[in-house]
Amino acid sequence: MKTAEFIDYIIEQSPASAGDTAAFFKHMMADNSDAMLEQSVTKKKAAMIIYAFIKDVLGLKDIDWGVSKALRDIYDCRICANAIAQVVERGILTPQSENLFGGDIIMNDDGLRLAAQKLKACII
Amino acid sequence: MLRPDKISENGRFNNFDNKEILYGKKKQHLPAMGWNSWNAFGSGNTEALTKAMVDKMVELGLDKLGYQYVVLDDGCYKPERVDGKLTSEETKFPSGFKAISDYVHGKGLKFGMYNDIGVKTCSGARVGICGYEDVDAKSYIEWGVDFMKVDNCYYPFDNATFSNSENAAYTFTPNIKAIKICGDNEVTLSAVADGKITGDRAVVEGDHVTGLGTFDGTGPDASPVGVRSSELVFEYDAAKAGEYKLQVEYQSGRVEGCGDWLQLAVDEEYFYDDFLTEGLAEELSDKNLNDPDKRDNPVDNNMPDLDEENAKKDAADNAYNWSAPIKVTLKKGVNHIRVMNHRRQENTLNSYSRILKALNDAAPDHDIYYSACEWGKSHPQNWAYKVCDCWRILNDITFRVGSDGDPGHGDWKDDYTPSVTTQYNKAVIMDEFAGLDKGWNDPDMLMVGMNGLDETQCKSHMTLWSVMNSPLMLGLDLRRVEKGDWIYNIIANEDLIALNQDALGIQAKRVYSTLAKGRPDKEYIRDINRVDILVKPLTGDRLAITFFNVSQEDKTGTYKVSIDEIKKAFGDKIKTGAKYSVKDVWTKEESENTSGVFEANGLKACDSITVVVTPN
Repeated sequence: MKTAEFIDYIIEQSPASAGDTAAFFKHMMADNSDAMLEQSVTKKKAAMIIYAFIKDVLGLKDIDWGVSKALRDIYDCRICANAIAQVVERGILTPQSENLFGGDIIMNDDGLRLAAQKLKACII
Repeated sequence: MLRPDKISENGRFNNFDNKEILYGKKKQHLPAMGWNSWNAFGSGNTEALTKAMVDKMVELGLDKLGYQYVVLDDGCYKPERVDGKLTSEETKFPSGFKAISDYVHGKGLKFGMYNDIGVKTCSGARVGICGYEDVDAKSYIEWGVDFMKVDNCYYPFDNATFSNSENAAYTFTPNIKAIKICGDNEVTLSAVADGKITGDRAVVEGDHVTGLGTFDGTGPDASPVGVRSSELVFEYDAAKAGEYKLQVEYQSGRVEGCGDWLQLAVDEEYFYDDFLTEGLAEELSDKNLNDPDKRDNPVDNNMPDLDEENAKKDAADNAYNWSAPIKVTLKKGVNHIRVMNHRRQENTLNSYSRILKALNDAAPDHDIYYSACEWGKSHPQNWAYKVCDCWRILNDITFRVGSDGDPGHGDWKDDYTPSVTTQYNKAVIMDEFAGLDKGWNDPDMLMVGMNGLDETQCKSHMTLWSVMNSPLMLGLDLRRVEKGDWIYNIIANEDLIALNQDALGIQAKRVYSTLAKGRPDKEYIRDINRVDILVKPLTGDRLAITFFNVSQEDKTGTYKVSIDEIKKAFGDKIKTGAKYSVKDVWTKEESENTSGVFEANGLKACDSITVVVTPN
């Protein structure tokens, strides 16, 4: 699954009760060039996409950082550090180890589908 | 091909201390004051939000208090260049950058923008200024930019954030076992037995020396004080002057501490400054240009820890080789053969210089406030004064920035960089690097108004940033502020702002700490269970004294400093008197002191007391 497909997949999986996904889609199109949309999805990219959905569609407030603080590589990504923390704290994405998120790992389709299902579980 | 420039003499490590300013950079700028979009809205800033902030700055009278710059941080560009040029992201900034710049100028404020010395900005937009300095400088001048904040992500000549970790090959020498000097005779000198390591970055490991380069200052572990790099120096007594051939026995790597780039000098004269491994420049250039996100690597190789562990193991398995002979000139008598790599600092200075030069070429008389945001990685306190007005000293103060409707989150304390006290702990011992003829240490933007910090903490945060001559860049949604509320009272404290903007331009010095062992102004103290006293000389023979409880517990002791102790720290800058007028910048209480001893009796957790003292 490429980035564009993952964005579409999340939207498709989102029930009507979740909220309007138009703002999320617009956000994704603004932040990603055509070339970026064709790229495979790294874990940190998945975190950013999922977090954007959590904010733009679900309107959920951030959770305090807990286990995320132990992730050494979280601070390598100022643009996605909080996104990573929020998806980890919610159990949507699993860190590679106790102190490494593994943001550059490319996620396969099963991993992305699983993340989307866990995101659905956040929809109240 | 992306390749570091040849470094000119005035950009060399040897000349960092020579006080020379490059490319006509104007100095004598006080710390910048303004608003920056990052802490407030992250990459979600828009034209509408920016205009709202501009309007609030005027409505609140912040412009009259000195807040003048309005800076668009990351996230404002279309993620790819259009015809090779920067453009605004149309949904966020539909009217374009010139329009928002005109709006800002129309309100009597100044306009700032953001870019990055690498190939992409930190948000991943492929609009980094690397290789586009001339083109982008023209755009920035067209848009009427008065302030540039320039970041360090995706930097192709170091292992910076998002950069290929193998770029460490540029910034460290290989492991060195020996050198061989061939003249009439051949002499082999052992790195361990005959070489002398300067500084404390490099170490002996068994039969070789490793770590010849510069500390990475991004995290809070490395002190900013002293020489932050190491060289391996051999003293060689040459029987006669002339040309010799020198070889280095080395083991190449691509990790922090063991690279492939060698600088070889004899005293001040350079004879080699390049990779040792043929083809490495092309290989890394290709990766940095075409695969900056490392997407073509197999999945396993993207595990950072495994990468570094594997790379270190690979490096350890690499054979030692003798380099090709390098021609050097030796004088008769003692020569200091220097094996080193200062490219971490030199390359970064060069990249920031390229932008300044391009801006100067585009508009020679337009003075732009220049903020280096390279997070202290290459210890910019040593070199950034040559081309910049301020330099970040650490990684970010928060990684939980706000958005429209969310104030974001800041912390008082953290083990890494995102907290008030982590940034303070480092900045407070960096006063020697600051001044009107140099520039300012930058412990990152203000978090006043974020969740996670209470009023007392915000008050101390603002106080310490003010007296440390930090830039005062607000990072909150100003629509939440009204005149007279607690946030306004903090950011609009005129007496405090006056300390930051005092024309003497001296950063406060820590003259006492309950945890200092001998040099409170130089010791890097990270334990926050302490009280610090800072003093800042001001115009009119005045001085400011700040008593600061860094800890999160109330302190009941009495903390005092005498005018004699202050004189020891500052010498002639301090005038004494028969008595002193004292004014508290927060309570506004005025009193008279005849003892010349200034004290605070008890300090609440995270609290601070700041007084302005005038000798009579």
